[in-house]
Formats: sequence, C-alpha cells, structure tokens
Amino acid sequence: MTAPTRQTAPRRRRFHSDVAAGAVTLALGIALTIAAAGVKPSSFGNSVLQPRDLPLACGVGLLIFGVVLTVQGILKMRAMTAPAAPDVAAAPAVPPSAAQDEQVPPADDGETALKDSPRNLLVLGGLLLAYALTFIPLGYIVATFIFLFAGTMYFSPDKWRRNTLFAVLFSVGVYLLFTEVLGIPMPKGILEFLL
Amino acid sequence: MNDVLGNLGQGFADVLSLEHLFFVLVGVFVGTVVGILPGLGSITAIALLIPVAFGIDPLSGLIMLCGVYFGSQYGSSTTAILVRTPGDMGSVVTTIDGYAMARQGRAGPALATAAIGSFLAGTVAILGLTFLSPLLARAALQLGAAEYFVLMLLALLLVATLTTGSTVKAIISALVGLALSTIGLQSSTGVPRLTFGSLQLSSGVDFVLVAIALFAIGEAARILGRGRGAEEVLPTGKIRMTKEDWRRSAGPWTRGSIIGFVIGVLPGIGPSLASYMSYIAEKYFMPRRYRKQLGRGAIEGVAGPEAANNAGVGGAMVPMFTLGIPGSATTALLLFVFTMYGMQPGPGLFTSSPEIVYGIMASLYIANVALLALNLPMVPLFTRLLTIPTPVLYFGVMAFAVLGIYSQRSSQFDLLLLVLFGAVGYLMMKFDFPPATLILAMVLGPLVEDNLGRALNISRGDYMVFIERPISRVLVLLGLLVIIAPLVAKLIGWLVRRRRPIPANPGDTSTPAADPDTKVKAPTGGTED
Repeated sequence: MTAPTRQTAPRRRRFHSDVAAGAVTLALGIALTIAAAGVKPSSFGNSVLQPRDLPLACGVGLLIFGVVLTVQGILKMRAMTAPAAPDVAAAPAVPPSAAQDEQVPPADDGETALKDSPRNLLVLGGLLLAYALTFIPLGYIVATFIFLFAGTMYFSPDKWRRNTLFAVLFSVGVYLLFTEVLGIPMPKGILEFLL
Repeated sequence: MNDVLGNLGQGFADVLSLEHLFFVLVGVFVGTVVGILPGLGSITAIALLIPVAFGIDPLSGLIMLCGVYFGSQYGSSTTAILVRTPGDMGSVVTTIDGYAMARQGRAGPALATAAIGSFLAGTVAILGLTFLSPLLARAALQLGAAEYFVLMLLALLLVATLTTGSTVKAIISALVGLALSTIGLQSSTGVPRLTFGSLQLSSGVDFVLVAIALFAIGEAARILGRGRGAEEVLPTGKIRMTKEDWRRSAGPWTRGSIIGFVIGVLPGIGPSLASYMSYIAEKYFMPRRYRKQLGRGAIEGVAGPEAANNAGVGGAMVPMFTLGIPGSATTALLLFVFTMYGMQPGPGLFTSSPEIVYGIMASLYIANVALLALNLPMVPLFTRLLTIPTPVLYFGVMAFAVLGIYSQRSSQFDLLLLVLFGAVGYLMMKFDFPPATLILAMVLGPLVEDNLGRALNISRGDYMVFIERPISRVLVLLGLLVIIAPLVAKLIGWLVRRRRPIPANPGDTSTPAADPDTKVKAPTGGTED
C-alpha cells in the first residue's frame, strides 16, 4: 500500500494514489467502451464473435475495476487517519524495477521516503521527445549525440569530458555498427552530404 | 525416446559449429551483463536484441536470445548478492539472504551456491524440456480451438491473479494489454478497431515497442527521476563453499529445481514466482537448527530460489515450444521471434522444424555449462560493470531503445509511441501496476480472441462447447479453482484475523509473505547505514 506523500508532519488525510489510479482507469474504461461501440460489425454473416466484443469487454472491465480500485483507495484513505509512523526508514537498497519477467510489482516501501524530482522527469521526458522528433530530420548521429550529451550533462554536469566522449562514441559507433556491419539503414539527416 | 535422442544428437551436431557456438557465447555473455545491470532484465535485453536477431539466421538468433534469457538469470543473482539490487525479478528473494551473507563476509559461498544451483537446476529443466516437450506436443494435437481458448484464458487468469501485489491492478494491466492488442485492422475480418482514422494505427501497436517502452524507458525514467547515487559494492573474496555449505545447499537445490520447473511450465507464470515459492518452501523444509537464520544469511535462502528461477526459465520454454503459449512475459517475446522468422511454435514445430527445436535445446545445455564457467571466475569483472555511472547507462539504454524501434519499421510515429508508452511505463511502476502482465495480455489477446471466435463458429454459437469437451472441461474447472482459491484463502485469513488480531511487525524481515495477500518486501532493515 503505497501512499505517494512522504511528509510525516501532521496533516490532513493522505490522498491515496489508488483513488487517482482508479479514477484514471475508470475514465479509460469509459473511453474504451465508447470507442468499442463504434466498431463496425464483421461483414461475414456467420461469425458469432464480433470485432467489437473484445474491446467492449475490456472497456467494461476497466470500468468495473476502475471503480473497485477507487473504492479500495477511499477505504485505505479512511484507514489512515493520522499519518502513519515514518515508513521504515530509507533502506539503502534499491528495490527491483517493476516486473521484468513476471507480474510482480515492486514493493517500494523503502522508496516512498525518497521524493521524485519532477524537474528531472520533465527534462528527461523533454529530451526523449525531442530525440524522437529530431531523429529523422537531424539524422541518427546528430540527434543521438545531442540527446546523449544533453542528458548526461544535465545529470552529471561536472563530468563533461566523459559525457562528450560517451556521446560521440555511442552515436558514431552505433551508427557504423548498424549501417556497415548489420546492414540496417539509419537516417542521415543533416549529415547527408558527409555520409 | 530414440527419436528424441537422435534429434538431440543432430541438434548438438548443428550447434557445435563455430558460428553457432559464437552466438551461444554472445547471448550468454550479454545476458549475464544485462542481468547484472540493475533495472535491465531478460525482457529488456531480449526486446532490445530482437532487431539484431532479425539480421541473422533463425537458429543463431534464437540461440542467442535463449542464451540471453538464461544468462540474465545468472547475472541478476550476482548483483542481488553483492549490491542488494536484483537485476531481475527472479532474484528479488536472493537479495534477502544473499546480501546478508555478503555482509558477513560470505559473498563467495553465496555466489557459488547460486551459480552451482543455477547450473544444476538449469540442467534438470533442460532435461525436462527435452523429454517432456515431445510428449506434450503429441498430446497437444488433441487440442482444438475450444481447448486452446480455455488454456489461453487460464494463462491470462493465472497472470492476473497469481501476483504478489494487488490483484485488481494486475487485472487492470491485463485489460489494458488486451485492449491494446485489438488496435488495428483485425486480421480475420479486416475491420478497423480503435484506429481513430489514423493510418499508422491501422497496422496495430507493435508489442515489442510496448515492451521496450514500458521496461527500458520506464525504468530509465524511474531511476533518473530520483537521482540517487550508486550502491557500494562489497568485496567478493574466495568463491568457495565449505562442506557444510554443500550439505545445506543440496536439499534446496533439488527442491528449487523441481518447484521452478513445474511453475515455469504453467503458462503465464514463470521464474520469479518460482523463486518466491522456493523461498517459502525452504522455510518449511529447513532443518530446525538453521531455521532462524533464514532472512539473516542462511545459505538455503540463496540456493533454493536461485535454482528455482533458473529451472523456471527452462520450464517456461515448454509451453512455448509445445503449445505456442507463452510461459512468461519473456517467452512471449521469444514467441514473437519465432513468428518473425516465419515459424509457428506449437506441436507442428516438432515435425516441421525439428532441427530448430533440438538445436535450441542443445544450445541450452551448452549455454548452461558456459554460464557456470563464466560466472564462477568472472564475477569480479562483471561487478565492475556496476560502476558505470547511472546517467550514462540509462541514456545509453534509451538511445538503444529508440534505435531498436526505428530499425523495425523506420517510423517516426513509432518513436513517438515509444515516448508515450515510456511515460505510461513510468506511471505504471510508480503506481504499482505490473507491466509484465500488460505485455503478456497483449500477446495472449489475439490468441484468446481468435480461438474463441473459431470455437464459437465451429459450435455455431453454442457456448456449452467449453464444458462439453472433456479436456476443455478440466481446464475450465482449473480456471474456476484459480479464481476461487485466493478468495477462499482471503476469507479464511480475514476470519482468523478477527479472532486473533496479529500485531504489525515492521522490522521483521525473516518472513516474506506466506499469506497470498501481502506483498513480498525487499528488506527494509533498520541496521543498514
């Protein structure tokens, strides 16, 4: 049961993340059900299962379980009257990433004590989006270099030598690996005149 | 039986060529390395390497990827023990006793027992795979569309319910996965679904894309979003076990192998659950005098689960080969690779391409041996990898992810989807929604739907067909059991708790949940600094 907030000072009821998650799921369910209803029926006369059936079932399912999750979240919120004793203090361990292989979600109790940095996430998201958008126009080498350089510089500003080296080696090296060795074409972009 | 041995012999002959051996070693090496890197597990490794496999011949590609799968299980136990960071879900339990042993200066024996146990279990599992699969394949020919549907549904149920987290969230993940699988033009009818008029969406959402986005990018976002420093690495010392270590490990190795293999075979669940089950089993089977060590550095806590998760890998390949059903999310990816090469895994594969099937099995034996040889002496080298600075590592991973996706369809739209699903993956991990369930459901979706449609068409709309046919009936009952059992267990637990309130025990790290309800926690000890 992971509450997203980490303050231990007395506060109003903690807002349980399940409520938000449940609401999103519910919304998704509604959207899906509507979209599914719009799916045309199959033109084959004798088919029993219609194309819209599975999406519709999923939509309804999401609707139901979205409600369930929201309710669960509300119940948990009620159960937490005062903020609980601090989560057993910061374990230095980094719990596993979410299920790599199986459906075992991470038990990140120790982590809730550490705050996520929204700025880091935004920068990361922005860089990634920019990379995706410039991948073809700028070409693989340039786009990748910028992505890697900017990214590593943001997170480790003092290691600029290492970052530059990494960015150059990776972008050029992988480009050569894919185009020459594996024979898979990569966009040349603005370096077209060179390559 | 002779048939099997004959084919296997041929398989070995094929694989023992320099080229194939090369790919076995590459796969095994990459797998170990990836397993060691925190956050990157077998799924990510395989997903990222699929574009590479595309360029080589089927046997080499499959050998390499299976080697990666095996190798990643070995690698992740190394980090679990030395840095308390499992490289893969299957090694989460190993962090408990393994790390405790390491802190007691006994990292060497822990690593040794993990490696040897993994080797033994791997051998058992591969033997099981070799000899069990042909039998199963033959039995599978009895299965019609109705049986396949129920089987797939059962797999889906197992995936959704047999989780150690919130069942509701697993079900939601599964539903989302199913829905995603319907996007595009339906193959049987040509009807566009959920495409919103977009041409690109008409070809559907590639599930490898989703897998890479959820796992690689999601994980990168999760780690970088926090900006934490790297964990210190403990010195390994000699990798040797005392006589007592050997004695104590023998039982867990055996039990772990069997448990792991059986659970691996069950469609939908695989190595990670196997390791949890093994840990719980060891708690009961341990000799009394050692029992209180469990959780604080008992070698059984490493030997059993590590054996189980390697056996689980072999087991998960059984349904993949024989029925064409994914035994785990990672085997789902492997299944995709088969279809990418134009082969259809299932009973037919044994007759149409036995050289592939047995070639892979032969390569697994070799991979297993290679891994043992690699792991024991090369551990210090591998742990050097952990010193790769986080931003470099994860930006590299992301760049590789983008690269891999682009090389599939050369589509900018795909890249944008990657970013989108990367964000989704991050959110899922934050809010405890299991991504692997989504992937599995996405793969099973079309299979479930196609078989249901076909079964109903054959029976002309008669839904009773699922109960009338004998095999199908058994599976349906199993499915009901799977649904009801946890509910009953919960009910009993609730009743018991009403009688005898159990005091909360936050500092207790010795018992991962024996109760199917509660989460298995990574250790949150108060004495670490």
